Amino acid sequence: MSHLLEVKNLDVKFDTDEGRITAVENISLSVDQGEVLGIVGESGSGKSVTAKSIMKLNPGNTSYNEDAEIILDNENVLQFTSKQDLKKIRGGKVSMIFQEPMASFAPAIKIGAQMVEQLLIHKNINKEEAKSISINMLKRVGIADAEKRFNQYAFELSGGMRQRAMIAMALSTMPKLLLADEPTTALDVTIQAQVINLIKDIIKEYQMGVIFITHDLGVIAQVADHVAVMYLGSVVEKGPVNEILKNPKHPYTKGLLQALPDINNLDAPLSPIPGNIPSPLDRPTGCVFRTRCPHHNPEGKDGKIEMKLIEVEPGHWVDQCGIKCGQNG
Amino acid sequence: MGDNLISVNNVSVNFDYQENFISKKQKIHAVNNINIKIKKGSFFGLVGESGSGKTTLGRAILGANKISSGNVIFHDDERDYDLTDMNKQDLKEYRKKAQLIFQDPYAALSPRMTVRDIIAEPLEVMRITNSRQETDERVRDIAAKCRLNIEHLRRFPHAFSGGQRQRISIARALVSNPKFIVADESVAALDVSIQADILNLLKQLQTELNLTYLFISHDLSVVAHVCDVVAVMYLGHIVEMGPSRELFKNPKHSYTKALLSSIPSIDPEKRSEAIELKGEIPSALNPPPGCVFRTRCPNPGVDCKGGEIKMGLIEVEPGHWVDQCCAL
Repeated sequence: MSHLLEVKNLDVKFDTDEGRITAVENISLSVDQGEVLGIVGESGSGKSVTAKSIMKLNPGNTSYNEDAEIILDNENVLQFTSKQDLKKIRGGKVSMIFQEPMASFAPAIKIGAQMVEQLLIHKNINKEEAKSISINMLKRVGIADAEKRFNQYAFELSGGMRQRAMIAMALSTMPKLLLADEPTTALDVTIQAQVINLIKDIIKEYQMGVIFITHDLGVIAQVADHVAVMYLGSVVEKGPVNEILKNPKHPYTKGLLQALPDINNLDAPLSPIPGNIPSPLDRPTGCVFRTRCPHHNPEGKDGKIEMKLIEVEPGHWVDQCGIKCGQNG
Repeated sequence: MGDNLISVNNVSVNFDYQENFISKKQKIHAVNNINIKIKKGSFFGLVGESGSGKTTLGRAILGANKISSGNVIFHDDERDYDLTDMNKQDLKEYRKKAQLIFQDPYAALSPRMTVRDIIAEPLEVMRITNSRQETDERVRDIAAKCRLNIEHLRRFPHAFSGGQRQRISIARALVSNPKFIVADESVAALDVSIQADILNLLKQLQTELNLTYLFISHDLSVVAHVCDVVAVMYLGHIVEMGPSRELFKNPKHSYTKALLSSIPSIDPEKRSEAIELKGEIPSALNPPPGCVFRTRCPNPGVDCKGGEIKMGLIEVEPGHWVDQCCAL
């Protein structure tokens, strides 16, 4: 069976005044129906750029490489240029939930009107039907008084409720793929737990594919089936969630896990990954992580080993330089 | 009061609120009847959801919010400062000794000042140093302690990453040689690896410079790692307080339990163990009478449902205080 979404050899570059920046390099990912792919990494690792490429939402100075493919439902999204085609993916087959729901709703338009508007664009229905679909969706995501909220503005809702409304809006067009970009980062833990459970229920119910972007490994452990760990535009490790979190091979994945405060183990020291993430303008050659790597693999130090994912266990892929690092220490 | 640095006694902070100019004036009870003692050299944690009053309490202790009733005493070596009864001169002195580190290092630093000027500004405003040379010396000294390079001082904040900016904010807060630091969500905006780095730096500076922290955060695993004593706030009240290990190992209040269970576990096999709290934190305009948590409590008792049990902490173990509604 073919995948719902398949990204093959994707490079994303931005032309800026300072030169051409490589934001994403040689990424290959796939998502099946009903599956959650988690993407983790620090800020600047290219998580959001990857997700936006799927909807072609990156700004005008973006260039993609010729041989890249983003196959969604048997069509190559990267070849879409007409408005008509783009409309099919933006909000139609693919929906996106953002981190800050206050910034994603138009402040001066009622929530209901915004929900109806996008339904009218994507579905062949009239206003009345769109309204009832929207209200049902608001109810489905657990908003009490859905009729009342339908006629309110975004600022009248609390943070958790806004995020629910955002999810309702994203889901009302019944997308096949949902891109969730840090959807719980701005929320309190108790509300985060509510929203995570809601997203999980909805995935089960509608059998959609999801790409869940977050920097929180705890959230990944709770929602994802597969994980891709990104660093400076490259995937350094990917595989089933259990494998990645319990049996990490790449020094970067290990570093992320060690930097995380664990409430069950208060005696463990917090160990940051040394150094800073380099500027994408001077992206290291060879292994991108080598400037911060503890260098258990001496050959990786001078950047002569190219980035290449190798399958170490069934479905568990690790960058070849990272494998050696992991073995030595 | 030998080993306490700060005593907060029955402090409440109310704000006036008027929906529009003809409607009745109301009071928002942001912080209610708080009693805490912060020991010298301790790392005191304050946790709770947004809207629980953590920041208001922190600001009240710094004298940045008006205290409506109760008082806050700062026990300095030679004398005590009473925050509710301070003249301008005292307030100036107090400001040198108590400082704040903000959440967002992108918003806290002026983009038009060099790092050197940012760090030096408190010294100049408070007239702590007398010559430019002396100022420069202090700036360089504190910058080195916060692991900033000397050449960084000539640059502007935009050239720095989030973690470096937070180190600049810390240097700025520490340059006046304060004894007490309020760190308000100081690591919330940072990536995990940088967060670990900043937390280690705060800990290291604490021993080096003999600091006392009030650490405000919504992240329980961070608080559990760095703090000695933790107070959990909900809707303006402290519902549980105790030594952090004891509190996290043996939480008594149902709110603390729910918060702890809501932390997403890093173990993919342990899913959905969260005690799900229904709804959201009620408005501070009309908090529920009696136990403020009872509208969301997963296992309310018979008495607290009627709101008959008043809020009040009782000591269940030495140093471990729990609101009486849940303790009973």
